[in-house]
Amino acid sequence: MAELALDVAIEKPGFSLQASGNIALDRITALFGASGSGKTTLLRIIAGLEPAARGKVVFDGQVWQDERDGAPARGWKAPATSGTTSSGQRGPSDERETSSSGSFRKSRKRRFLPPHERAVGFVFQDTRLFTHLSVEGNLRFALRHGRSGAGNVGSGSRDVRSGTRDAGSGALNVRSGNRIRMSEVVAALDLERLLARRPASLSGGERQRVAIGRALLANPQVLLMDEPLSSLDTPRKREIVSYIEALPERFAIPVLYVTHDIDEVARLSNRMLLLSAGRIAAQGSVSEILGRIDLWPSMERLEAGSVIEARVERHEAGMTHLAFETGTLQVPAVDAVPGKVLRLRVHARDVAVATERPQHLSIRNILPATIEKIDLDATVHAELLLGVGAQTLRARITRNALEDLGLAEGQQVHALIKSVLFEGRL
Amino acid sequence: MEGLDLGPVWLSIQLATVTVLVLLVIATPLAWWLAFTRARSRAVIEAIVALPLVLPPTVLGFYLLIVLGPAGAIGRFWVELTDTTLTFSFTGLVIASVIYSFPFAVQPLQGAFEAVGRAPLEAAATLGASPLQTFARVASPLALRGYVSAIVLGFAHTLGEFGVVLMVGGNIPGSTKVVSIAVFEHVETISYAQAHILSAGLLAFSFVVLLVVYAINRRIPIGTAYG
Repeated sequence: MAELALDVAIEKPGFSLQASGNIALDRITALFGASGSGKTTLLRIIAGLEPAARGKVVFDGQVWQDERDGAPARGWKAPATSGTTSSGQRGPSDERETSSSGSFRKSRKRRFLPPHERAVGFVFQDTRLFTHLSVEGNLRFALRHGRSGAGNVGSGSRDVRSGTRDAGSGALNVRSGNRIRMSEVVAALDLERLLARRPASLSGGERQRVAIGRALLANPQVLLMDEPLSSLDTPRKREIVSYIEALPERFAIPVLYVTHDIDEVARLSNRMLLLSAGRIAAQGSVSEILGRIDLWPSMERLEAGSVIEARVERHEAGMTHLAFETGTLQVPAVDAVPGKVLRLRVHARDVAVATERPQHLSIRNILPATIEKIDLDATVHAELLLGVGAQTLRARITRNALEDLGLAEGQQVHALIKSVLFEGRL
Repeated sequence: MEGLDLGPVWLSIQLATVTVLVLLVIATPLAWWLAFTRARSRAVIEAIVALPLVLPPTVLGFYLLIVLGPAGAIGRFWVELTDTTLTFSFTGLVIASVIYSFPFAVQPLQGAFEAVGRAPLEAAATLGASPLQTFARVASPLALRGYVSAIVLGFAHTLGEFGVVLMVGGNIPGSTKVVSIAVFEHVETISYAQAHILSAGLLAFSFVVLLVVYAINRRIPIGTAYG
């Protein structure tokens, strides 16, 4: 498990971001939020692509960025944005020079490691493959310039610490072990057939696979992915998701994954960070965060829902029975062996509530539940948080229904689940 | 008809070659800065760079004569350093040509770097390439069209200059008597046959060069990292 300690701030016209906290990076951590919440900016700050960002970035003890004497990022205010740094006036940005040799200049107030000296891999939304090189040329570029002879953080077998360097000058990896190899990457992402091709002749999905492979071959200690699926159509998304899913284990590397798609979060991640208006609103396990009613405003414009876990019990007549603490769910056949724990995503609008167990109903999935919280912030709707065993389900019903049924917090009800949208593997 | 003196032709080619080499060294970093800076002084620098496009060559030549002459700031320094004058010398011609052809090198390069944009440079940086490596292995290949244009336009424009050369260099065979000056002299002395040969040669050469550039540029993809 790698750790990223952040305390950063950036001011841009019409936008400000202040993020602080220790982020535990294990397997795939989702960085989630609506568009404009600052996800991409935060990822770019971590990679060193935003030189205007102030504050501190420490990855696994390596100081990538630090403000020694300056005010901490939290209280920092940008100089008046009307451009006082012109006409010879020196704003704070002027003292922010970095040496390209990798060591910090002691006389400077600010430490800032440029991107090529941070052990990050970055997968851009628009892939940014080099058009003047073939696919193989793109991969070799990373191999040639990437961080040499170092392995990766994480749970994998590569995690062998040997030579140590001063963490403060941590431009290079401190771990030894295998470098990520060309052959491994080519095999893992099925790139063999593409090697001789030019990026311009590839499909969107193929380009993104090459971009992922290229980022890996730079031998990073953490892989930052910026909405890598957003420009792809649904079938392509599915194809790439399965590749991404396998990365942390196969290459022993933690992934920080930016997305505004809750289905991707549910599918890929165990842990998530919720970013809202340039602040980290919450971090924790995916099911916990999606179940927290107080965070719903941060997720508005997104499909409200919840993520629950259930165990595969048996397959019967084209349906899979999923064992749940308080009952059984039946869903169309899922390709998973009995005993396996699946993660299910249920949209709030697909959950109805009944005060008595209904008869003569097409909905088969009915679970006893307790109303834990009723949220009336929504306009004509009410959002309910239902306790189902130890897990929580969100339901969206109209206020009229709420009043007619006389629902109250603490009440025992039946949750009617119309459909289970998505199954993610655990 | 007397034998044709090819000296001016070789001198022109030498001058243009040296000028282009100097231009590339100076214009590349400036074009890079202009392409990526957000500084407000950018507009001022751009205007200064473009001045030779609009100034009459004689005006430019006049100022250069003053600055490079033995009484001028640079000229005096040069005399002390080398005991020769800058004006009416090959070196002086090179300096004048570099200034005169400067926009023809800077502008295509700047345009090419702007077309490349920050995106592939950022990608290269995250892959571990230093700024210099990024420049050499990503930005320059992607900006190849800009380089071809800068080289050819700089070369051709230097070949064709007349006013500045006449002001700064005069007409010294083997040192400052380039083709355009030679043509002028032939016309002055009513040696039309030789003026014809040199003029037609220059015309043909210029056309072939431009043809090659446009043909090559069609084959080089426009610099961008988006597939």
